Amino acid sequence: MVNLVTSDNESFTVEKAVASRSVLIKNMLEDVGESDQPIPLPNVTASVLKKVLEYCDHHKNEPMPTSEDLAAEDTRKRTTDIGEWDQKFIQVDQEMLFEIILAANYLDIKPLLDVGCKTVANMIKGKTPEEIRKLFNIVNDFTPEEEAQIKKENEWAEDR
Amino acid sequence: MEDIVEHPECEITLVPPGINTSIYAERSLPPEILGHIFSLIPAGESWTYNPLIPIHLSSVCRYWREVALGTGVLWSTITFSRGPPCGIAEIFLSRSKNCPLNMILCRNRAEWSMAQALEIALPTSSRWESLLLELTFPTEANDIMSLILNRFESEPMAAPPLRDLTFVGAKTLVIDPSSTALFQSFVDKLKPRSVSFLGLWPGALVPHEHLTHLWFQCLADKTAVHPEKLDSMLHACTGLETLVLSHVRRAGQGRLRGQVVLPALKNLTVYCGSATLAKDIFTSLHAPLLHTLKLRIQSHQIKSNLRTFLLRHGPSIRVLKINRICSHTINFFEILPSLEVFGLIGSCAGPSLQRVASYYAQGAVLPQISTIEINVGAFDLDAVQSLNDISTRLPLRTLSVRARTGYAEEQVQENDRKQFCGFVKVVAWDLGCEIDSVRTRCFGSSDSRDHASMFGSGSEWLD
Repeated sequence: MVNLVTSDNESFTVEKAVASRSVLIKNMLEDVGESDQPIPLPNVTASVLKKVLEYCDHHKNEPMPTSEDLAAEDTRKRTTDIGEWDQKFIQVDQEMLFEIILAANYLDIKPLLDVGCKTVANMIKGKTPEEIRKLFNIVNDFTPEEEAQIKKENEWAEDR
Repeated sequence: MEDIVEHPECEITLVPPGINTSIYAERSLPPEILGHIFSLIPAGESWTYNPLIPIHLSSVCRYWREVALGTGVLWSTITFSRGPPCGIAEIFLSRSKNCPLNMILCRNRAEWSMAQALEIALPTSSRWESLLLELTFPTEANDIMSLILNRFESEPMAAPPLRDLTFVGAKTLVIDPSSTALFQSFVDKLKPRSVSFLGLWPGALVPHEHLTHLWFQCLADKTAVHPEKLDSMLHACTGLETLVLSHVRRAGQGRLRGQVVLPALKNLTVYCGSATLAKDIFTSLHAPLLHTLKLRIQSHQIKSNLRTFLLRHGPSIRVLKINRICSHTINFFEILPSLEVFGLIGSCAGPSLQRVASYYAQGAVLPQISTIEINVGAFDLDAVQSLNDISTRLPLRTLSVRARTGYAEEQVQENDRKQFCGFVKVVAWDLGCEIDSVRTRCFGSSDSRDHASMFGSGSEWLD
C-alpha cells in the first residue's frame, strides 16, 4: 500500500497498482524503494485526489501507455471520442474539470489528461468566440486595433 | 507537458469570480495544455476543412490568441478556397511554424488561378504531409503537375515526405493518354503511401512499392472504370493494404483478367457503384490476410460471388461492416468463423438486427462476435429489442451505437443505455447524431452537386 498526502493535509492509503498509474508517483516509488514514508502531493487537494484515484482504480488493470503508443497517437488523426465510463466520470463542474486536468498533468497520468482535454475540446467545439466567452466566463480584452484585425481574419475565413 | 505554471491573467479560471479560494485563485490552464486542447478540436478534413475553427479560437481573448498563435499544428491545414486571393492561406502558413502541412489546392469557386496558389504553396513543399489537388481542366492539370515536378527536379530536397495524395476532379476529369507519363512521374516522384482518386480516373498507375492505400470514389460517366485497366493497376500495386471502391461505375464490357493476388491487403471496401464490377472483384481477388470487409451492397445481385469470396477469405476476416443483413446474407455468419466485430452501416438497424437475433436463437455454431458497432440512419425499437436478444447469446465486450434518429424519448433511451452498460462496455450511445460516412466525405464537398448528381440517393447499384 502507498500513503499519499494532499496539499490540505489529508492522507489516502491506496494500492500500489492504483498509485502507480501516476508516472510521477511510480518513479518516486522506484527511487525510494520499499518505504512507509508518505508521499506528499503539494499541488493536489483532497477532493481532486479522490477523483483522480477513482479514475486510477477503475483503470488499474489496463496496460500503461508505452512511448510507442504515445508516438502513434501523435501520428493518428485526432479524435475527441471518450469512452463511456470516462464520460460519466468526467461529468463534473468546470472548476473540478480544470483541477483534474492540472492534477493529471502534475501527476503525469496521460490517459486522464487526455480525457480532461477532450472534454474541454468537446465543450468548445462548434461554438463562436462569444459563446466560448460566455461558457468560460472570459472577458474580451482585445484593443480596438486587435478587434479590427480579428474581424478581417474572420471575414476572410468565412465561406463566400 | 510542463508542470503547472502561473497565468494570473489567463481567462479560463478555475473558480467563478468572487469565490475566495486562494489555492485556486492564481491557477489556470497553462498554455501547453490549452494548446493541446485546441489541437483536439476537429476542423474537418480535406475539402470539408473549416478554417474558421482556428480563427475563432484565436478571437476569444488575448491569452487564447497568444496560445493559438503559438500552436503551429492548429494552422497546419492550408486551404486556398476562401477569402481574398490566397489571404487566409498566407495567414495560416505564417502561423504554422515548422509543422507538417496538409496542403489543399482546391480552387472551388474562387477567382484566382491555381498558379497563384502554387506560388505560395510550393516554397513549403518539403513540409507537405498530405496534398489534395483539384484538377479541373486537362490543360491546367498538366501545367500544375509540371510546375510541381519541375520544382522537385530542380530542388530534390524540396520533395515532400508525402503520406496522402488525393486527386479531385470536380468536373469528372480523365487524365488524357498523352499526359499519362506526366501523371505517372508525378505519383512516382511524390511516393505517397496513400493515393485517392475522387471524380478523376488516372488511366494508369505505375508500380509503386510504397503505395499501401488506394481509394477510388465517384467515378462515373467519363471517369467510369474500365475493368481491364483496374486489373492492370491492381497488379501493379501488390503492396496494397487498403482498397476502397466507392460509387465506382463500370465502363465498357471488359472484365478483370483472372486472379488478382494482393498478399498484403487487410481492408477492402465496396460501396455501391457497379454490381458487375463488384462481382468481378469478389471473383478475382485473393487476399489471404484480409481482415476488414466493408460493404454497402444490394446483396441479391451478387450473392453467389460474395459467398464464394467469403468462403475463400472467411478464416482471416475479423471485421464485417455491412449495410443490411437479409435472407441472402444471414448465412454468411456460418462461413466467417473468426469474426470478432460486426458492424451495421445502413439506413435502418431494426430488420437486420432482428434477423441476426433470430439466427443466433437457432443455436447454430456461429462466430462469437465480441464487438457490435452500429452506425445507421435509424435505430428503432426493433433494433434495441433485437440487440438485447443478441447480447444474451454472445460474449459481447463492447457496443457502439450511433444513429441519426432514435426510437423513444431521451430518458427511455438513456435507461436502455444504462442497462447495456451493466454487462458490456458501451463505447458510444449517440442517437440523434450526424453520421460520418463515406458519402458525407464525398458529398460534403463544396462541389457536392457534381458528385451527387452522378449517384442519386447513394445506396443503389449502377451498371
